Amino acid sequence: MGMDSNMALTGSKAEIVGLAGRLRYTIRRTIKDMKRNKICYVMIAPFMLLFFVFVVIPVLSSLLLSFTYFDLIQPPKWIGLMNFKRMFLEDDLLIKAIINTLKFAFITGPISFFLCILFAWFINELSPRVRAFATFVFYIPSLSGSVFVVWKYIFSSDAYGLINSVLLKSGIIKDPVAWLIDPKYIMSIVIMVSLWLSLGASFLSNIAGLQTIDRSLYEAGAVDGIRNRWQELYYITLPQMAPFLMFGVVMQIAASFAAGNVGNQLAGYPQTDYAAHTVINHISEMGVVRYEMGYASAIALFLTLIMILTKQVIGGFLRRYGDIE
Amino acid sequence: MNLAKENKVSGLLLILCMSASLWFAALLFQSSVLANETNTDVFISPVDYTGLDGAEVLVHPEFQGMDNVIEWVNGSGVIEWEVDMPADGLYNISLEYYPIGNARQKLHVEFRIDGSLPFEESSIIYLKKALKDKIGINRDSNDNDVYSPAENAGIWLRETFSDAEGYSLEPYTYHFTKGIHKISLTTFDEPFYIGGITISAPEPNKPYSQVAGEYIDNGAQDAPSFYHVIQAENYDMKSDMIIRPLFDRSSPMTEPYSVSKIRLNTIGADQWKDPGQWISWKVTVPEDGLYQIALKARQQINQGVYTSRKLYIDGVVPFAEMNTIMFPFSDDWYIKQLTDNGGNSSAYRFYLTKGEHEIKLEVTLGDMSDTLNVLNSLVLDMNKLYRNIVMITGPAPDPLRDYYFETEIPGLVENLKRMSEILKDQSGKIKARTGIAGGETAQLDYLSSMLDGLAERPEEFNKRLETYKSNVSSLSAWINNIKSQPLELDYLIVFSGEQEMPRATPNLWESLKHILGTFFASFSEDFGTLDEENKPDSIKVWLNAAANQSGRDQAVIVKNLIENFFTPEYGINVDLSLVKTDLSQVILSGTHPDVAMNFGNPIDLAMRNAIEPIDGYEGFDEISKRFHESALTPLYFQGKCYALPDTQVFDMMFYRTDIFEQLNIKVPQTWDELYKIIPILQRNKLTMGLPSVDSQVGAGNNLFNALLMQRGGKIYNDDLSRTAFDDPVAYEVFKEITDLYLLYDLPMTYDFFSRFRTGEMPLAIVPYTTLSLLEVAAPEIKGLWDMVPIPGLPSSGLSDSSLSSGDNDITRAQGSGSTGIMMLKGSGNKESSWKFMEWWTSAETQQLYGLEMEALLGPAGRYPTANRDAFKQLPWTRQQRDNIMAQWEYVQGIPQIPGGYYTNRGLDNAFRATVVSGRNAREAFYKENLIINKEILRKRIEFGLEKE
Repeated sequence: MGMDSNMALTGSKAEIVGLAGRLRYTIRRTIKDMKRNKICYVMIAPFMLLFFVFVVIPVLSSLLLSFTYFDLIQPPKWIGLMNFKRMFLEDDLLIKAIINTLKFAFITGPISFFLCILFAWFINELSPRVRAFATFVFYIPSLSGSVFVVWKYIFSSDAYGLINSVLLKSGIIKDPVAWLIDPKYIMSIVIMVSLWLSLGASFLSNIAGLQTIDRSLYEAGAVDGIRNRWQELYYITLPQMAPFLMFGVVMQIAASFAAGNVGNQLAGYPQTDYAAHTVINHISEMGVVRYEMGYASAIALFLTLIMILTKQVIGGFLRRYGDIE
Repeated sequence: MNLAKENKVSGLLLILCMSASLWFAALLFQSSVLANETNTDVFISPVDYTGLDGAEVLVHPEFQGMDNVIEWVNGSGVIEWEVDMPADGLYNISLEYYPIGNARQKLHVEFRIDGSLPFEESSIIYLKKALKDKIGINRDSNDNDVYSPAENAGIWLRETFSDAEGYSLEPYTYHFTKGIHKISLTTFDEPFYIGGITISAPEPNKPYSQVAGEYIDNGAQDAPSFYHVIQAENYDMKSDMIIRPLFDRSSPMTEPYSVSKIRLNTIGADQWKDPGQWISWKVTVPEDGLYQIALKARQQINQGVYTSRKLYIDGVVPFAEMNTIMFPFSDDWYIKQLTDNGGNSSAYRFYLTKGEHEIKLEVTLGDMSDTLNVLNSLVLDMNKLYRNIVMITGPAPDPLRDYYFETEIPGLVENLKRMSEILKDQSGKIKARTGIAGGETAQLDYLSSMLDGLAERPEEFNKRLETYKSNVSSLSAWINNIKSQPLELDYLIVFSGEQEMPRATPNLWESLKHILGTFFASFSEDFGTLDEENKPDSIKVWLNAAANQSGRDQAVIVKNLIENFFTPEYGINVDLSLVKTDLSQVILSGTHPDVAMNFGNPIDLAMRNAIEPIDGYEGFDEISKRFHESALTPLYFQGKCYALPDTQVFDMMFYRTDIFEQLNIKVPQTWDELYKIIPILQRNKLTMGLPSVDSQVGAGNNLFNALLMQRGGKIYNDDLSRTAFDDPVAYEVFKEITDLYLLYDLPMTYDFFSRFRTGEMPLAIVPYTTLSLLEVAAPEIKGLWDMVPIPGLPSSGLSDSSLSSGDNDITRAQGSGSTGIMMLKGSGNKESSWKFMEWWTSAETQQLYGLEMEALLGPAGRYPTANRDAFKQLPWTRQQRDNIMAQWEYVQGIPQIPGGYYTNRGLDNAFRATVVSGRNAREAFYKENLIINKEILRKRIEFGLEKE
């Protein structure tokens, strides 16, 4: 609001002083404002400092690097838009990676998002002690992030792997199935394991969100004619939880687009036919295996854009539903 | 009451009579009696040998205080003597010898009588070595204790031929008839001296009661009051490199003690657990007389059971009770006084004359040896039964089918019942001995009930096969556990008269002080850095931890070697860090080390101008001769060498001798022979493991590379600008491999270790380093497998198997993997760095490092050094070494090129596309070849090797 009145003031004087004067005036005015609000600046400084060092500078440098050839060892060389040309026109594998990423994101993202809500809702109905236990049980997979050994054993291509041996014994298959080698199965398994792993932070925040809802709203709802639990969920619980859902969406998008490790851990790197090769994998392939950090930065930039775009789209849907900024 | 007692006594008498008569009968059955005790020792002077076969021998009139000895110069072949035995009987054989080879190399001989082996075990008789510290425990610049490795003690040793595994407690007895016999020794290992062979009648140790009686008869009395503590870590000699002083900071009562510094204050524990391993101490007593011995000990590793030691004084077991001293399990230290059954009155007394004496403790299986003997053969029987079943059903039996096991395998039920009985019997014996039920014996009881269940319903064997198999491996794991006899010692006390024994555990105040002290010291002591501040003439060395799990141990050993050998000799200080990072970032930031070792990708960095080419350095040509050519090939780029190899690994063929014998098949020498075996194995529901893409971690394309190289094919063309897969032979090989999986249905993924143990996979091609794993962790198949070079192609090009008997005309080429040590281009101290690289890859350093790793980690830590001379000195048996060396001759290096990472990947993809997704082999192969070459070309353009 202060901003607005400033603008109005500058506007009225601008006609007299002219453009340069207006600029000078604005600066002076800003400095004055800054002096007046210096306590606020001091208070925000630690955050801004960290934000700059760990977010702004890396993002800017990766932006700059995406216009260079950089092998991590010798200083970067400026090559203009060559990286982008290669990205859009020459890199077959990137297309595969983008398709995989989208496939992965659009399957795991929504499912995991709704699973988080559903499980949170179910668990919230339990008595506090059981709830604490159930929360713990559901949260465990994301704590024990590296239990891929178990999954590797379950889906081992060996005849003695868990699923193979069960299927062989029950006579359903005759030869062991190469679960993590056959490209037909890799993606599905990766998605499954990712879902299992994904009940993480947004699940917890949903549980917290459910507990902040004012109980009196339900009474009011009952008076106003809500007939069953589904209506309760749809008309009261979810709209009340909108900020938490938004948080969940952001987390989920970031997680789905940045996935790549699960595939590597399960099926090795690279997988058969790059079956679970995602954009993140492609970035690390370019950066770490091929020492082409410039190109990797360009892809990272591209991935960031896709993520922001997706967030905007989904955020739009949610905004229409709940009332969040 | 009386009657009952009498009954008991008479029962006992009866049992005694029976066992005596049985014993007598056994002796009669062998048609021999123990040799007459008097004057039957026969001494054979080694210089009187009567025959040599492949052995080169030098006679020395005197060597190291022993007269008339021979030196076995070439350390191989056979030496034969003639002996005139005075009487029929059973005899012990003992040999006096002086080892001169490496202290850590195993030395063993084969002993024959009249040209034949009296029994199987006589073919491997270990001649133990004695090791002595030269420097021992020292303080480093941080006032922490450091230990320098021991060396060959250089003394004459005497070994009475016995079981090195410790399963039979008594020495071997050999049967001789009266008259002239030929005896012979065979060895393959290394040169040593022989001082004499003694053939003597077995002399059982007298019981203590008899010895104590002799003390009284001889008028021996308790020596005047005397109390002397020997710190166990200050031993005189030991049998194995692996036994080394340890640091125990769990108790403030462990001597010596420091609240914050490292004090090597105990010895033994996990490293002193195999039968036959011994440690000896020297003690000087002031007067003739009777002394007592006490030990401060701890056995906290084998839960709930005893471990045993055998005590020698001056090389002799003083009385029968000292054959097995039992140390019970305890988490805390305790004082173990050598007594009859506790109490000072019944303490054992040892007669010592004035002067220096040697006390020696040797690991023995004690009472466990019987149990282990029985169970070991049971495991073999159970495995055999498993194979019999699998030969009928295959590894994944149909659960709904009745296989008629009882008719197919005669005596199945009886066999199962017998095995169950054995287990029950042994479990009962252990319970009786330790007085503890459950725990260690629960496993045996469980197994026996499973066997009972199977005996009742043998038709269910197919359903329970999996359980059966896992139980067999858990039984062998159990045996392995029980077989180890760990014991940790803090000190020994030799004393006489009434002495108060020290307290072994701290009181509350002492523990509190210790805990608080160590807690606060943890703030000021830096145990993390291995090295002190940087000194002016120093180089920075980074050791890559990623290549090895035991990074920290590795770093400690390397640091130790540097401090003891490199820095004193060259005057260059080394700042060693253990890192787990990629080198590229540090190169960019300029904080890189001078030398990086154990890194796998020197050429990746060299292409980017970050590594110093080393072929111009002084002595490079000489140094490169330390390695096989194949280890150097991957370290060259554009004609320059960028690193020296430190490790090199390649494949060997492992096979189960017992199963091959059973199925009457020969070890395949060529691929054609190997292919002919596949149907035989598969007919018996067995299989084989070949190193294709997904078979084992790191197997990669070993099979493809091997076959391609053997047929004269190459991975890359001559100027390394593209693959050489256009050559028809490449596709031929690819097709052949994919057919193995498509037509023969070989398993693509398998756990070699467990399948090899059960015998399901009696043949596999795996890295030679697997050998150590099998030696350590698969005791139940010891001696039932062998390791030989991989199959090859007859160089005549003909696949006629009749030609293959002669080994020499078979090409057994294959690729290999290696890591290297390199110098970074930005190094400020290149001369010193080069000296370090030269030192590190030298045979002496590599050998020391390899042996140290093994001392620390056991045979599982066997180091696959690339230095050929060092390799020979690692503790292989002669045969293993010869086989690996033979294979090594055929190994070829695979050059590293820009974009080369894509080659393996492309081959993987082509292989999987063909075998898994069922695409056309030719199409898949050439498509991937195209992609590989595209990537190589792109990288070549990037590095300016080619124009666009």
